Amino acid sequence: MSAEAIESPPSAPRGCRSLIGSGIGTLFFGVFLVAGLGFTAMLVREAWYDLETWTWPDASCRIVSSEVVDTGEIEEPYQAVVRFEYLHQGDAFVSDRLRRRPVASSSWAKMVERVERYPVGSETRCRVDPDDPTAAVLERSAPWVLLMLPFPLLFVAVGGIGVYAMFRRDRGGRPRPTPISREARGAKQAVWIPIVLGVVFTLVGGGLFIALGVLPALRLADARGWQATPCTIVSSSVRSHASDDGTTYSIDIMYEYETGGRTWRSNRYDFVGGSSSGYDGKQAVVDRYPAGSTSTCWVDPDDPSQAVLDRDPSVRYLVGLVPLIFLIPGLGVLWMGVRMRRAANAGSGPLGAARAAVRQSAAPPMSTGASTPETDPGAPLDLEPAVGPVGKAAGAGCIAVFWNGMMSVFVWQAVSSWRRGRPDWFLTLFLVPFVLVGLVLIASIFYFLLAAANPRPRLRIMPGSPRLGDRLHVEWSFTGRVARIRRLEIRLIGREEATYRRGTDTVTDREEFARLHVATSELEPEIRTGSRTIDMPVDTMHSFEATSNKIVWTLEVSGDISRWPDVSETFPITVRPATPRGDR
Amino acid sequence: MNRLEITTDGSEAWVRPGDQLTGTATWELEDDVDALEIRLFWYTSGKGSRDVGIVDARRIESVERHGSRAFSFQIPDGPFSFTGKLITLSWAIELVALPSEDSGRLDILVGPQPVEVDLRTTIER
Repeated sequence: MSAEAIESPPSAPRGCRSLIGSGIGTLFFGVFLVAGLGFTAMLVREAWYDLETWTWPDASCRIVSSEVVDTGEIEEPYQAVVRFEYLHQGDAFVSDRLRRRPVASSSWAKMVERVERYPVGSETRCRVDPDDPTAAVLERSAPWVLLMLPFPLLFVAVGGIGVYAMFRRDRGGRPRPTPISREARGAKQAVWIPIVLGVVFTLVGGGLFIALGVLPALRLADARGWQATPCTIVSSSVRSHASDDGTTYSIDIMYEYETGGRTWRSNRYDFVGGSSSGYDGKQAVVDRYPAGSTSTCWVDPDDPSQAVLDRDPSVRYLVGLVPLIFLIPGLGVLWMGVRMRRAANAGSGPLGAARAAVRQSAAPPMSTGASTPETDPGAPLDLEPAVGPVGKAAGAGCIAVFWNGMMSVFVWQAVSSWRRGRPDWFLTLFLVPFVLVGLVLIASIFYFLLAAANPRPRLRIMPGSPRLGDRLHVEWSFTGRVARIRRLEIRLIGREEATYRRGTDTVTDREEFARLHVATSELEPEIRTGSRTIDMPVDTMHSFEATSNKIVWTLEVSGDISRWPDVSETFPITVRPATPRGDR
Repeated sequence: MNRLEITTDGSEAWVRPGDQLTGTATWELEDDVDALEIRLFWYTSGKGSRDVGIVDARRIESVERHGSRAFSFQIPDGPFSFTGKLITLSWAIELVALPSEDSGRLDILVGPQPVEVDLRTTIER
């Protein structure tokens, strides 16, 4: 056999296009790097602003006043203001800062809870800014803002690696040829991508689901034990919150009630909170509670500062289910990533093969996820369909929920614009094709549900994992109303499947290389149950599965049913290589 | 310039599944390296993203500037070398210098016949 050596070629002069490409690449990644560094610096500065109070010396102080003030701000109108006096190096000062940043909320009750920790006349410790003794705080702040640090650091990493790669390319002339086998190790790291994505989606979706769905539901249940208490409406309005995405609205009804010989205030209408689009519904609620009127509110007997006006379940609480759009796919991707990781560790497929190289043993990646006999590959095998009709309906349902859930946000905005009398024509027309896709997805659920009522085929093959060149015996039978099937056809299909990235999409192309007829029948007894034996081709390819490339063999069963979704089931099988030198 | 070569003992670049493949790795190095690795692997090319599976490897420690080492690999049952409409699967042996990753490669054909399996024409019957 001839020998071949691949050597590093001498550096060639670099072309103008290559230089322009490097320049654009450096600029592109440079923007990422600079933006990431800028945002990181901003977060660190903000964190230091909070952390600095931990370096301030403490002093004895006395509370002068303690109250909740309505600042008139739109987002968080209620501010906890605690005035206290203290001595620093012999001089007397007064401060009204609870923390270094204002402590405010949209909930009156929350702020009342804060100020009640500091009763008027009580003695406590405060922290004094040594550079400006007029500034003192009662509470130190935790640098929670640092929790956001991973986001800009991701930009820094992408930008930094990109700029470094461009720099190396510029310095080294043409990229140095690298061994192909090196890529097996690169592929090993790819299993972390779905795990990381799954964790991010699960954490974000789970966090939002707990905050918007679970906690309000628990509070709602808890409030069933709260006491009915007469209350007086102090003020009542719909608050507007302007943002880049449009204006949203919230209910703000302040009410007073007496319990335990003391007057309390709260502005909690229900446990949903936050703001959303849709003005009219909120105005209707506000109209039911005019200022000066009396009503019944529900007060927590264990903590009278906690009250609510409406403790009945309503459709408003369903907003808590929206995060499931992120949580369910996130769990799915995480599960897929963990399975890939396990498969890699188990030594199957090319990822495992890379590791197995170290152990100097590896199994050829010939399984395609198809049913295989547990022990003897020559034994008969009952095949499982790739996806059953119920699975297809469930899959279509998940996709429809995900798609229509995403679209509903925009559709709601478009509908709101029409209800306000200022139709957003551009958004409406833009959404038409997306809504049509959503409708087709919903229709597909019904199609697959109808197909689930079809007669179900069962397939048994012998041998369970045939070799190329073997005789393959196929037995079939149907359960259900077989008489509805007018024509049955069974084929053995061999197919290439290549998966690749196109832009941001992952695309899989399929090409058949073998199409073998197994059986055709229009006679009911033979459709109900039958068998055939075929010769597997010799000069072709056995089953093969890698991360992006597969050779897949399937038995495909199709049954023609009049005016109803047809029977269409696919049964993957594993075809083994022909035994070398004819020994089986 | 580093020179890394793989030669096999047979006269053809074709190996049957299950066969023993023997050969020699030869090198002439200008720089010191930590180790050399001889890797038997398959790789895909074509429309799909590349997959690579290292089936077996031999590591050579304490490497001199000039030298050679005989090697032997057991070829597994598959996958066969093939070319289709979308995918081509090839086999090769690489001699890789570590950590620089300078390399020499020898392509081989693995299959029951001395030609690669051709999937470009659809079998219909």
